Amino acid sequence: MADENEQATTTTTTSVEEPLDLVRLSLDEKVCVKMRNERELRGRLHAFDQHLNMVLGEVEETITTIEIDEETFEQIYRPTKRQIPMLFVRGDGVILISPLAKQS
Amino acid sequence: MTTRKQTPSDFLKQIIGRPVVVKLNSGVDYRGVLACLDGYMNIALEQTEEYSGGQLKSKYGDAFIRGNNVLYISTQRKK
Amino acid sequence: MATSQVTTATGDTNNIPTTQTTVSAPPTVTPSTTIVQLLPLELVDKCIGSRIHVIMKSDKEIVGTLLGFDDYVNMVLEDVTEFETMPDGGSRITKLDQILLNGNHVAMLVPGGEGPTTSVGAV
Repeated sequence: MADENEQATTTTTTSVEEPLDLVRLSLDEKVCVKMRNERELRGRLHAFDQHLNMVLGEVEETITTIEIDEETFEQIYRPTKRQIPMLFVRGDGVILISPLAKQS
Repeated sequence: MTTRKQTPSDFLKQIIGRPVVVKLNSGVDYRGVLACLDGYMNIALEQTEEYSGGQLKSKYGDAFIRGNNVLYISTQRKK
Repeated sequence: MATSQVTTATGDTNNIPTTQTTVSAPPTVTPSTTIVQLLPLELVDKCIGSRIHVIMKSDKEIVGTLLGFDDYVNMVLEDVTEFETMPDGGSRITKLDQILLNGNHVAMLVPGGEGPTTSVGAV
């Protein structure tokens, strides 16, 4: 495992040989992070480790709460946004990470 | 039974580069091309589409999925 | 008798047994038996090539032909049917070609099972 990592970093820095390489390639780039509890983060990826603990800067957090209209029983999605200059994210809450530059 | 044994790692070697469906415990599906994965079932997908309740919710060019959320990885459904 | 000795030897290590003198060796329970019991993973191994019914920790059940598995009971299944109960109480059936099922979320395995359709009617 460690050997593979070394190989990947010494030979090419652009190839994705294991999933974490995709995150490595997103360092200093804007990423979208989907978290549990309907939270989504968009920010610059400053650092991460093997647990997907992350440090994100210039973050916009979007929390989506679902409310049910008492009369019509319709589901109402209510996004709440806030800005956070610097953020530590614990890896166990992470579902998905995607580099924003390549996102359509 | 003549079925040869196919271990999880055999299966994974065989499906890299193919279109797959990754289903999470939450019920959300991700469809895309399997770029690679590791022993934690962390997954890198390309041309990813996110489906929730059968409806397309969003698209990601590349996506890293943390393995602990993965329920299964499937080769795409027979048509 | 034998069981009470075992419990005192392992459980109350602080209390020095007064009457039972030497219980220093680890308790070797029934040394005469050669392996009679079928190990759990041996049972799973016997299921390779046949239909198996997987009950997940959540309200989800999966039926398929078992092609293989590993020590974590991650399983490769073929001709799979997935049975889910939806939040609105309805159920949903998905057919899949081949899957790798994460062993982390497996609660039970039923050899030769054919899924919840036979036992549980539509809700």
